[in-house]
Amino acid sequence: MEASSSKQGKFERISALFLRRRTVAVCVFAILTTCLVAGYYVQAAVTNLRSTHQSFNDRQLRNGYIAISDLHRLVLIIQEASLRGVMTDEAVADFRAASDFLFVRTDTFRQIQSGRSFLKEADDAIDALLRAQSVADEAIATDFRDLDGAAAALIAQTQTAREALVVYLDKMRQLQDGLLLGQTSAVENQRTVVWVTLLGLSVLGIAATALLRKEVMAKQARREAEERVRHLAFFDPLTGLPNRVQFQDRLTGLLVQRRRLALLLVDLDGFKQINDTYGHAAGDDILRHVAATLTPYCSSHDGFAARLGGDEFAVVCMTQDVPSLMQICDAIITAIARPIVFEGESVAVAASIGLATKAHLGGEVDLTVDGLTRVADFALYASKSDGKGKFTIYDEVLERQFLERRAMVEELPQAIADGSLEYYLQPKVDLVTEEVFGFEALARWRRNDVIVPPSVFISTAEESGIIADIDCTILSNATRDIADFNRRNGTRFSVSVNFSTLHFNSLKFVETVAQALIESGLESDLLVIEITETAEMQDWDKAKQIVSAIHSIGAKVSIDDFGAGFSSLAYLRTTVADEIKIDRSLVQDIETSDAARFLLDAVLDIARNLGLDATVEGIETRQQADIVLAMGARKAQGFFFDAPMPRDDALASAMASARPLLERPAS
Amino acid sequence: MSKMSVLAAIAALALVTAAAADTPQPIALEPINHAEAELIIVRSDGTKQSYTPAELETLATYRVRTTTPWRDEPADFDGVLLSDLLAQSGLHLEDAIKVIAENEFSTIMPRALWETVPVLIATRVDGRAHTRRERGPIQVVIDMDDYTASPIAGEKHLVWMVARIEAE
Repeated sequence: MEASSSKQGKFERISALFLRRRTVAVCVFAILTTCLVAGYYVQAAVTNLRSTHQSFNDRQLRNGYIAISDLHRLVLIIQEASLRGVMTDEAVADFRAASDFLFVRTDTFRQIQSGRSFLKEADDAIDALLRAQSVADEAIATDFRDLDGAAAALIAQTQTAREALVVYLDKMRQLQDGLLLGQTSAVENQRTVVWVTLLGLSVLGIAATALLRKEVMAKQARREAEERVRHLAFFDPLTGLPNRVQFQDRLTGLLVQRRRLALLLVDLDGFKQINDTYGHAAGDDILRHVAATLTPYCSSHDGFAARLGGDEFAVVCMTQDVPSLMQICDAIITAIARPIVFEGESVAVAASIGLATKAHLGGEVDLTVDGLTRVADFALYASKSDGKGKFTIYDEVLERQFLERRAMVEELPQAIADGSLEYYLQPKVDLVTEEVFGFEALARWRRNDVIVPPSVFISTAEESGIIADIDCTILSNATRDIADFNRRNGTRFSVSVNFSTLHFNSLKFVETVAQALIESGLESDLLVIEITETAEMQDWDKAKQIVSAIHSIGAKVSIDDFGAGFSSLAYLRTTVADEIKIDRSLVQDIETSDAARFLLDAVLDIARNLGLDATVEGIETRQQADIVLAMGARKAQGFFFDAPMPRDDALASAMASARPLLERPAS
Repeated sequence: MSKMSVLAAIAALALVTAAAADTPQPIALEPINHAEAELIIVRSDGTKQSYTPAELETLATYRVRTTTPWRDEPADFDGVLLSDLLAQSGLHLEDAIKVIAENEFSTIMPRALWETVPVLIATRVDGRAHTRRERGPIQVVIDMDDYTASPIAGEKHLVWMVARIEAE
């Protein structure tokens, strides 16, 4: 590992070295110098060889040997004639021919030699040949009268010529040897130069190749990183499915093409519980299982699946055939419900589906990704509300509900602004003193002169986020009105205001409460913040921090609908709460059921043991009030005392109520 | 006709004339006294045929004006084409022939040489009978331009004092 790191470091240093201009300049200079030296060296060898070639040519060597042969031929003829003592006609003809051969040879010799550098041995040989030629011509001219004399003169002269030719040929051999040696030396020099040049170029080539490889690898790494970034931008890394961005792009494209399609929004039921129970690794396995389940259904219908986030998936099918889509939904729900094995344990999850096709959209909903997703989501919500593990098709009925919901979402802000979002007050009664000690402020919406109960619009307000404005408006108005009333009438009525747990994510909420107390002038201990338990409440530490902060400004905190929600006992972890309000479901059977009475008694015991006030909600009969009082509960609320009513009516009723409440006739 | 056109026509004529001068030109030769010489043709079957310079000149005669490797100044060489001589002697279809000189020098000529280059068997130079001392009486001559242009022709093919031609 260390060796590899050291090697890498060395390579980096070399790379850095080659990035310097000076290094590159030195390398280029070295290459050019090497080439110039090598070129000069080779050129010098070539010049030397050319010079030797100027002096030596194999034709010259051949001419020298043939000249000796021609001389020999001439001498042989005249020697034979001299021995015979007579020069026959045939011998004369042969002699003439031999003389002509020598003439032409000497002429050729001179021709070859004339174009070359001066060589004394060649000139000497040519002169000797010319003298021998002259003797032969003389013999022919005198018709061989002195045959012996001519023969002797010719033999002597040819001997001289032969000696000159031998000297010349020896010189030629020396030149030939020199030429061969020069060629050999030149080739050897060239070999050295080539070796040195190749070595230098190889080193540079290896360095250049290594650098090039590094650059290519870096480029490849960059490209892979870009690919990964691009992939991450459009795909969910956990499941490999297209993400929300790609979902929107592709669905937009399909809508633009006016293709027939349906959108299925798939949401897992109880996914949070799986994460809580088995851990996030199991949750991830479930999500991958869902992704693998969805893919075949959409691909077989020329569509695609996407993960929109969390446990929410989308499937786009290129069909609007409802029976087929219903089969797909059924198949998906069944397939997702098949358990997977996680660390030896069988883990299963259910899914709800909201289905919407283009054909189902009426004229009121835009045919956009947002519009289609909204209606499919609405259908999904209907599935969830209908018991989960089901699918719902967005149809005319849902369309009307959707439009109504949308209208409410659009109108609520205006209702808050123009005061048509009111609150009613329901009294809270002390069962011992039989007096009203406070009220719960309950939101009401006067819409088109009709009072809309909270059950109709609160959930919509929560989903759309408007609930925060509603809660703050009720808080502001109720604290202001009760504070005014207390000042004017010398009373100390408290007021409870409901707040969604959606507020319990930020300490800014505490600032809002403090601001309301300051602006209204309400004594802080007369304000009770009622929080309703929901499944969304996850960050207990944060909730506890916020409850403590509310408590620190003097207001009280009450846990509403205790016993009816998801994890009532878990709520008690926030021990800084002052009160629990026991849900009506724990009260409604206490007149007839021992078990119901036992349960209510047990809850009241828990509250007492934790030092919490307890207010029993949902008291509707005299008998219920008596039983609750007998159990030791002191505070109650319910229709038996008074239903929620407009502010002024409730306050007037509380002030006018002279007779003890518990003396009212049983209903 | 414009001045440019006239100049172009003159240049073209000069080129044609020059080209014509480079190739062997047919020529009618008057009889002369040749030096004593004999060219023997030996066929592949061993049969021979002998030609004197005068007998050679019974074939179509041509003139080439050219230099040679041994003549700096051009001379007029008269004689017959080797291809004609070989055709008459029945050696024209041989792949190669061997040419032998009086001084025993010999060389091989491939058929491509006489089929692509006009090779003259010269019997006269500058109108005179060709002598040994002028590399006659029978000499192989190739126009220097053709000689330079041919990838086949070499100095060894310019045989002087030719005595025999044999089928190779």
